[in-house]
Amino acid sequence: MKKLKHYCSVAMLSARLSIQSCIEYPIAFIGWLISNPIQFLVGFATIKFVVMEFDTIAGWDFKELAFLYGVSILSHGLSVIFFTKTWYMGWTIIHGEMDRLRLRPMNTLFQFLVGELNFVGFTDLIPGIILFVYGCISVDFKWTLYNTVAMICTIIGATLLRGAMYLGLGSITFWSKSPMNISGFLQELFNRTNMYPLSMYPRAVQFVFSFILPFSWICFYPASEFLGKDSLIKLPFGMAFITLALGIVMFMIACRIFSAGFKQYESAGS
Amino acid sequence: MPVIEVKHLVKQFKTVKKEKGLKGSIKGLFKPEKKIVTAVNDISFSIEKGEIVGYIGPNGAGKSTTVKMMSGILAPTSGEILINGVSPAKDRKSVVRQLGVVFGQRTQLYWDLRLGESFELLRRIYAVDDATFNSNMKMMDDILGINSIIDTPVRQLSLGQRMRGDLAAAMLHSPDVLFLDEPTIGLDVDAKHAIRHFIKEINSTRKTTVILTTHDLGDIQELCKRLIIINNGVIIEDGSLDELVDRIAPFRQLIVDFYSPQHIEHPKAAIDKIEGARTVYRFEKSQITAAELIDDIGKQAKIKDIRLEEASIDDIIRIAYNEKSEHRA
Repeated sequence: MKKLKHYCSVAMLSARLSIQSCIEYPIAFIGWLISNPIQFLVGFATIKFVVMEFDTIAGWDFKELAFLYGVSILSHGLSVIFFTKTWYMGWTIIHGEMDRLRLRPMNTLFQFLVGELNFVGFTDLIPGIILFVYGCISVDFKWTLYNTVAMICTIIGATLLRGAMYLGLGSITFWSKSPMNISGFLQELFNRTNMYPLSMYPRAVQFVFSFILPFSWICFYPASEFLGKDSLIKLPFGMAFITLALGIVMFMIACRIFSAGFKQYESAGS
Repeated sequence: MPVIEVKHLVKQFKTVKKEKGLKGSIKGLFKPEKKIVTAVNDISFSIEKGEIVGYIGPNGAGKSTTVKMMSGILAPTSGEILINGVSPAKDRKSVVRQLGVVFGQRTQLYWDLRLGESFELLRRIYAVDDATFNSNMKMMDDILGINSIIDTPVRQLSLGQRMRGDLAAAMLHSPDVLFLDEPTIGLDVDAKHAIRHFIKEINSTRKTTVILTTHDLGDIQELCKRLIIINNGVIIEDGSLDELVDRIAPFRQLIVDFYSPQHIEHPKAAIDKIEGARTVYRFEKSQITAAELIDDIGKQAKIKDIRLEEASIDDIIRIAYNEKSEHRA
């Protein structure tokens, strides 16, 4: 309990400091505040144009697509706040910056993730919230108890799932010694598999993104349950809980990879 | 009980042998020839509370590797390290509570924020109570003048100011042991003086044990009562600076200016060179005292002026590095 309180107080202060760091560079922040939302509004506009051309995509109309996109971008925004650090962790490892984490009497992964929260991520979260609210209103999402719980599970699970991929793959640098920046590629994959309904792709592709690289759980499957849409996997209920479970399991695996990487690093040095 | 005990410490790294050219690179890809490099090879020493120890050696000797193992960053291949009886490899968190570590080439301060914010964060991380924090801050202000820079963003601090900030940050949780890896690297004379003053102060008032690696002879001369010299991963000397001087360079030079050119020999001193009226003698302390030598020479010719020179630390360290490497070869 005392330990938890200690960790919380450090986390709170770190959050405050990252907000302060961000305020130090107001012009850069305004830049992000303008450019990040535009990025997603353009994505949103793209969907609108596609729908204008084809009317529906795999049976999803514009309102439903807006809902799908909103849920996806919301978890993206959250993952940017909590996991941006992992996008560049290859360089952090190579430059020996991880050493510092070992010198303080706290868990290294906690320090790594919490030590540098990315307040700039809020500029991603803002369009996420707007599109999410817009999507919910346009499909007339019912905030029943079950739906609310399921939505929260989806958002948390999706954020963890995204973070797990960044963290797990980023940790490979502990072994490879050569940083690779695949976060852009991953983000693209997450978007492609969740911006449009997965059911529009060939079955083989659907299979891959459902079972092998389970990215479509980020929001396609929960959203199809909310909207009663057909998909490769059909469950009467509980898609959101699979997303949450998947997020937790993948995040735990990523943590293990990180710890194992650190072990390797301890014995190999930089 | 010693504060730090290092027993038969070994650290090996695996590297892949690289051969030349594209052919070599491809060969390395498919048939990697693993090579084991021993960075630290069976070293042992123990350090008592309140010592200031200079841990010195040429680049690549294994200094930083040892410091990293002692501070729990790297795990030893074999051997044991105990800090106040606890092994950093086994219980890192409780060991690092007693350590302050400063790497001269890196900073642990928040780059974008005023210096004080970094202190606040460290205060939370180490759960330092108010009374301790305030008294530590007061002490850091007295020694390092921290309050004059506490409101400046770290990115705007000069290297010397930043180093003062880093030292203060390392002392906030009142550690028993301070590891300083090249703390004066790149600093100007004043800043170096401030850092040395700080080390002496905390050592005398708090009995903080200090281990510093350095290439700066001034640091060694001013601070280190004891030197541990490492080369090629092996400890080649461990003792006080005076002992080292006596053993490695037991000779002194006596420079005598006569009124006219002389050639006066002495059975217990060799003549290094004669330049006009100046003669340079070289003698061993164990053989004859300087006073006796001056006396003997003075009987034979009138002396105008004398000067006595010890071997410089520079020379001694160079001799220490080279001598032992030759022995190994």
